[in-house]
Formats: sequence, C-alpha cells, structure tokens
Amino acid sequence: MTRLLRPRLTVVALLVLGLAAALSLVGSSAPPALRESADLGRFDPGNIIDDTVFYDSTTMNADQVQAFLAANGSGLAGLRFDTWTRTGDDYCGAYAGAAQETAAAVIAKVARACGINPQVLLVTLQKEQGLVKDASISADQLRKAMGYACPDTPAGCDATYNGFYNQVYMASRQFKRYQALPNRYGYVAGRVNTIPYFPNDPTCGSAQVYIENQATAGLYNYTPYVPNAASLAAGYKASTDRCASYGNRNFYNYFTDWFGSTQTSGAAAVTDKARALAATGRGLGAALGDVACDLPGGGCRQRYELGDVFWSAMTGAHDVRGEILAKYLATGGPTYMGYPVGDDQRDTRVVSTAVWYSNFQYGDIVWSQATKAQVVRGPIRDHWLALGASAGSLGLPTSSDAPAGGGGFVVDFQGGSVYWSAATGAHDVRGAILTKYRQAGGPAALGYPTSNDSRDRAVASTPVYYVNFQGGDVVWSAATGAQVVRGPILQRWIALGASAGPLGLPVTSDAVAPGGKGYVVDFQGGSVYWSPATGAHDVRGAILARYRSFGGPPVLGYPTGDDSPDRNAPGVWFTNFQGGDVVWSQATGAQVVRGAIREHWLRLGASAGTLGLPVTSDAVAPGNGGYVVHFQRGAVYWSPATGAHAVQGPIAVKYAEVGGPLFVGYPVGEQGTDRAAPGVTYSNFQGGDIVHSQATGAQVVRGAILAHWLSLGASAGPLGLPVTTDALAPGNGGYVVDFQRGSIYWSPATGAHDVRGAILAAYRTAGGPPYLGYPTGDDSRDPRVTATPVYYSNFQGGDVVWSAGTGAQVVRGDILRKWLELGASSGRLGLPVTSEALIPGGQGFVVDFQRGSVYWSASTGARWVASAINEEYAARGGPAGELGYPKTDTTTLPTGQQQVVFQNGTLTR
Amino acid sequence: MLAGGIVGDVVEAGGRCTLTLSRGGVVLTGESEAEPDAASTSCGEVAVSGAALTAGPWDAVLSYASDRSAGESAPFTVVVP
Repeated sequence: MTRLLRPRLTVVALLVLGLAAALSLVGSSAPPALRESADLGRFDPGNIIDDTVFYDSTTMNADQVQAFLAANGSGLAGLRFDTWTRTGDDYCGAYAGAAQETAAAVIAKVARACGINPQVLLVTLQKEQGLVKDASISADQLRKAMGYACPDTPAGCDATYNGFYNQVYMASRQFKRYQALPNRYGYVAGRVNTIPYFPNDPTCGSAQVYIENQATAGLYNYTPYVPNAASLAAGYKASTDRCASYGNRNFYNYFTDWFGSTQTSGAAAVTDKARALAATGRGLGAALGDVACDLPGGGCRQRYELGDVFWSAMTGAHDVRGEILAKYLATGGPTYMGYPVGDDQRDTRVVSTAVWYSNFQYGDIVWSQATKAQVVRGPIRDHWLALGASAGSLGLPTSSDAPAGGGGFVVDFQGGSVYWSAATGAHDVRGAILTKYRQAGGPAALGYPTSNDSRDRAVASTPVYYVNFQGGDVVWSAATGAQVVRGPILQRWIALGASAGPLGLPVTSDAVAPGGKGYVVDFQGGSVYWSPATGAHDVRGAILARYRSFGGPPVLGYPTGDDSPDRNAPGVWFTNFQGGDVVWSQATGAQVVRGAIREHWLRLGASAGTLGLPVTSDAVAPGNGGYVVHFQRGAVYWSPATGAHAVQGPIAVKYAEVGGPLFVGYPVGEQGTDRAAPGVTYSNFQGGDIVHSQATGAQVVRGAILAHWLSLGASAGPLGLPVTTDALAPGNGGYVVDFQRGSIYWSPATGAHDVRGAILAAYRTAGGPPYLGYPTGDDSRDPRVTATPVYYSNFQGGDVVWSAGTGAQVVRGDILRKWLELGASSGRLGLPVTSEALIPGGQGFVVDFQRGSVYWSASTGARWVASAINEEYAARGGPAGELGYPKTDTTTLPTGQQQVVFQNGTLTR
Repeated sequence: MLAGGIVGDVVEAGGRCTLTLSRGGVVLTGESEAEPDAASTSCGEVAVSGAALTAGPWDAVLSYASDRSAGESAPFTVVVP
C-alpha cells in the first residue's frame, strides 16, 4: 500500500475572459560557479530564447560538439556510452543505437532525432549538472545529467530515466512534448503567467510574465521559476538574496556567451543566404560539411565550394570568397575583422580593373589582380573612404593594415599611405614626402602624421606640399625635393615665415652637423643650426659661406644668435657663434673674428670703433703660435705670450710691411702717444718698437739699437726720431737705424753705438762699416781738449775726430796709432785737418794734423813730419818727389833743429 | 474560465486536476488530466464554463489527486467580469 503524499499545488495560470493569473514553484536552485559575462540587462523573461533558435537542430554536428567539449575542458569529451535504438514517436524521431558512442555523438544524434538545437542541450547539461565545465564527472552527475524526472523530493530521480543517453533523449522529447501539447502544461505561451521567483516559498513572491513563445514556455515548465532582479544583477554569481533563483538565468548566460544570440538562428540564416545567392546567379556551389556555430560571439560559418557564408546575430549572413576569404581567415577571421556586414561585391566605381571587396564589422578587404587582397580597417579605412576609397586619390590598398610601431598602424595604397595612431588619428602621406618620411625612419623617427598631405598656400610661385608629423615636417617642391625639418630648427623656420619667409624651402633634411654635436638644415636662403647648448639659429648668405669655409661647427661652434644687423654700423650684418663672430659688409666681405682678438676688437668698439670692420679672417700670423685679424684701420695680433693687442694706422702698415711678428715679434701693448714728443705715436713689440710721426713716418727700432736709443732719451733725446727702419748696414753682420740727428750702428762684435753729425757724415763718406768697421764707442767729447769742443767716434778700423775748426776727419791704422802715441788731439800734432788720403802714386797714405802730417808706406811705416819740415817736404813734391817717404819721425837735434830722414834724403830745419 | 498549476513535489502520471469555484452555495467544478513533467506534475488547462458562471467574485481552489498523492492550492478569488 502506497503512502498518500500531500504534494504542494501551485496555481500558475488563470485565464478569465482574457485575464490570466498564476503562481508556482519547483526545482533546484544551485547556481553554478561561472566566469563569462552575458549582458543580463537584455534578459527578457517573456522571451528567453526564440523558437527558431531553440528548435534548430543543424547548428552543430558531432565533431563540432566534440570540439566544443574539448575546448571547454569538459569531462564529457572523453566519455563513451552504449546506446540502444529507439523507434521514435510523435515527438522524436528514431535513434539508431550503437556501442561506445561519444557523448558528443549522443548529443548531436538526439538533437537531430528530436529537432532540438544541440546548443540547447549543451547549455542544459551545464545548467543542470555542470557537465560542460566540469573536467571530472561523477556517475551521479551522469545519472541525472539533464535533471529530467528529478524532483526535489527525498525519492529523487526516477530510475527509469537515469543515465546520460536516457536523460538527453527524454529531456529533448519533453521539450518537444511542450511544443506538441502546450495546453497540457502549466506555463503557456501567449498569456500572462505567474512565475515564482523561488521554489516552494510563497513569501518570495512571483512575476507576471507574458510568455511570447513556446520555447520560453517550455523552459519555464522544465524549470518553473524566474530570476528576480537580485539574481540578474549577480551575473553568473550567487546573490545574497534568499529569493534569487538561477536556472533560467544561467540558461541565458551560457547560451549567450557560448553561442551568441538566443534570438536568431545562425545556421538557418546561413543556408537561407546560400539559397538566396544561388537564386541571383551567384551561388556558392555545394556545401562542404556542416554549418559550424562555434565561432566567437556565437557566429556561424558554412563552407561551400566557391566561398564561405558567415553569420552573426549582429551582422546576419554574408558570403566571403576567393583571395578575400583567404585573407580574412589568415588575419584571424571574426576575431580580428568581426563578421562580414555585406556580401562579396564588385566595386563598380572602379572601371579600369576588376575590384572586389567584402566589408566586415571592423574593416574591409579589397582585392584586385594587381594589388591582391588587403585589409583596411578602423580610422584608416574611414580616411580612405572619405578620400573616395578605391576610386579616389589613394586608389587600391597594396598592403594590409599593419602595426607601424608605437601602437600605430599603416596601410599602403597605390597613391600613398595612411598612418594612424591614437594620438594623431589617420592621415595620408604621399609621393616623395612618403619616401623621405620612411628614409628618415618613419614613425620611430618622426612620429605619426598630424596633417594630411597638403599644399602650402603661402607659396604661390611653385607648388609646395607638406605633411606635418609629431616630430617634424616633411616639405616638398619639385626644385628642392622632399626634406625633413624638425624640432627647434623647425620652430625657428616657422618663426621666420616658413616656406614663404626669407629662408624659403629646405634643400636638405635634418642631419647631424659636422662634428656631431648638433643638427643643421639648409634652406634656399640660409641654414638653421641647432645644438643643445645654443638652440636653433639661422645663418645666411656670405656669413654662412664664410662660416663653412672656415670649418663650420668644429671650428667656430654653433651660432648663439640669429643673422642680425649691427645697430651701430649701418650695412653691417653679423652672426655670433660659440667660437667667434662672422661679420659682413659689402665692402669687406664676411670675416671671422674670434677669441682674444675678438674680445680686444669689441673693447675697442667693434665695427663702429677704432679699428672698423675686419678685412681678413682670423688667421695664423707669420711666426709660430700667433694669430692676426686685419681691420679697416689696423690689426689685432695675438700670441700666447703677449695676448691680444691692436696696431693701428701707419704703424700697422709698417709692421705688416717689415714682416710683422717675424721681424719684431708680437705687440706687447696698445699704441701709445709719446708724451715727451708731441705728434709721436708708438707701439711696443716683443722685439722692438715702431715709432711714427708725420715727418718721419713709421720706423722700426729694435734690439740693442732700440735699447741704446732709449738710453739716450728716445724721441726726446739727442738723436730725435728714427727716420729709417732697422736695416742691415753695409758690410756683413751689422744693423743701423738713422735718426733725425744721428745713427745707431750695431754689430755682434761691437754692440750698439751712436754716431752723429759731421762724424757720421765723414764715416759714411769714407765708406762706412766696410771701410772703418762698426763704432766701438758712442759719439764722445774729448775731455783732454778744453780749448774747443772736440768730438770723436771710435770705430773698429779707425777714429773720426771732429772740431768746429777742423771738421770731421778719419784717422786710422798705423797713422792713428802714431797720432795716439803722440798724444792725439792734445798732443804734438793736435787735431786732424784732413782725413786719411791716398798719396799720389798709390804707395802710401797721409793725414794732415794741425801741427804736422803723418805719412805711411808699407816700407817706411807711419812717420810724422812736423809742420816746419813738412812745408819744405811738400814744396819738394812730398812722397812723390825726390825725397820719397820719411824713414824717421821728426826728431829734434841737439842744435834745436828738427830733422826728418826720408828715403832719399834728409831735411833739417 | 481556465486555470493551470504545477504540483511541485511529485512526478507521476494518472493524477487529475480539479478547479472548484464557489459562491453563495453555488459550486462549479472542472477537471483535467495531470501531466508528468521533468521535475513536477503539471495541471494544464482546467476549465469551468457555462451559464452558471455569473459575474462577480468567486472563491477558487485548484486541487490535485492521484492514487498515491493529493493536494490543493491556497484558496484564491477570481472575479468574473
């Protein structure tokens, strides 16, 4: 005798003249753990799944189910079952049993036999027992795999229906019974139904749901509760709300995440599309295998002989063919491009060649025989479309969308390329500008374009095109080619008016300048140099040419200022560099001034100052180790030992004329004015002075001669100003400078001594150094003669003696010695009254003194003849007469008479 | 008038569902055969109709009975317009 049970009975549907009410509960509510994220905001309790989807048995074949189970790590993938044959009934067709069938085969065969979507069966297996996601599956899970005939009672499942095959088949059949006998079950489509939120707990309340279709009514009959707001808000998770139930929520979650929309049947749409294409003469041929609906987002794909049809809920079904299909699959198919949004089409705007394309959610694939199938997508595609697509200026794509570095992308087209980055958007780059951009290193070097290929409207004379990039511009004209300008150089160029400014167009690209410490770009009207220390500055014209011929950055460094006019000197332009200035005027050209010479020039007032403009560039001066720049009114010389000093005017001319540093060393001071000698200027050099006056010109005095002159009081001294420049004296080895009132001779043997007045004249008349040698003493007064001033100079080869009464006379050799022996000027003979003279006949010499003469011949030596005898001797013809040369000096006889013995006689007086 | 319900704790065949309406001593009933379902037993459409079903509120109850079990819903009121 069976025990009478007291089951809970819930009224779920009530229809009174169009009014329906209801209430109910049953079933387990264990929420499985889950990960994905269907949008439960789109969960419609009245239409959980569409009939066309629910009853579409073609969405997966056994292999696809098997692959799906394996991909999810399901333990079912490795299970096999012995099945038995069912003959079928009003609800399901026959099932041919077999030994050791895979779970996937069971699912696919039951789906086909009963007309249920195998995806519904997979979702139900997961929803009821977690069989898709569980790697390890227990016998108990298999026993009640679909939860069929398993009430939440102590008795549990009806053993009649235990087992995997049994459960799958009977549950499928039950869904078909709901469809065949809708009025036999509590929830009915087309009415408002009262559906509880939670099993067997009236306090949880219920929802009034208008059930739109039979598939949804079946789900509620199979699992008779509806998720409340808390359940939906929890996604895949369990809610803390005690009234949250999960069965139908999870059905929706799993189906949507695994297979896409519950509202559209992809498989049916795919076959419909294939039929429709065949009807228009664009058939795809025979199907190759089954429709697969295991693509991302629940998409479907069917392969045909001539192409594939892809379907997704968002896009519908469209064909993709040939090389476009190959490209689509090679790039990752739906994962990369999304699904096709239109059919394979010919581009009718292009008439020159056959162009075919397919549009996808995230891009297009465009094909022609010449350019092959290429991917264009995202903002690059939008840009291309805006320019007229294949029929526009860019033409067909010749490469596929590809990373271009730094997160950006590029597609090449026949007429240029389109680059995109998040920061810059998509812009086209073309022709020579594109070539240059790539040569320069592309995005890695110049960043992405921030403008499209554009014509520079500011230049009217010739077409100029440019593209702006993040890191610079590329500018093109036919005459100048495409050139890169960037960074601070670009900013300077723009500040000057860019292509329409004085610099004009770039003729070179941004490049490391000689020396490697900065960059330079040449423009039509000059160059702009940049270095970290100096920034960017323009250099132009002759100044630029000079800068470069002088060695450019390695020699003069980088410009520290721009090409500028000299405010103090009209018509003068200059550019300052780290290592000097280049100064230009029409008259003087561009010249380099630098270092200490430049500093000195600036101190003297630069272009508007004492020296005026440079007429030469900084150059090594003659003589090691120094430099010179010549200016309009002088020069500045520099050497390590002396520093920089200016020489000016006639002194500078003279200095240069005599050989500059080679002759007199480097200047050691600035030009000065001789305070002791009005109108006299001078410059001191290492090896001498140059002294100038209007009357005497500029003359060089140096060495020992200079020292002697200075010791005598220089310009204000007895010699006055130099009237000649230090020069070799006649006769080897000595030098002479003539002054206003005398000369100073110098030889290594004698040193420097002055010779003056009539003595000097006599010295020179007699033959100067070759005759008398160099002075061995200075012009001196003879202290032994007090009656009258007597002056003399001693020379290596004789003396010159002067008095007002006797003039300057030359005495030398044995005659001189004889005279000195006799007491010289204050002695027996007194002063010379003639200079040494050759005696007619050429055998001897004579000098006449105040009180006698001294004769010399080689055979007789020097003999003096007193005046008293000399008169007689002269009267008798002198040495040339009968007496010949004296053989003795004048002697005084005991008688008091004077006597001289000659070669041929004796005179006594 | 149609009513439907679900017998939540039992799966069995052969049971019957009865809808009982009563008002002022008048009692009207309708019956249907219950249907075993996956995890419950369903009462499909249980109908009461005819001239006796006059306008106004009726006290209603849906009950289920089989050889092994019996039960009924909480009483509810329906209003016939």
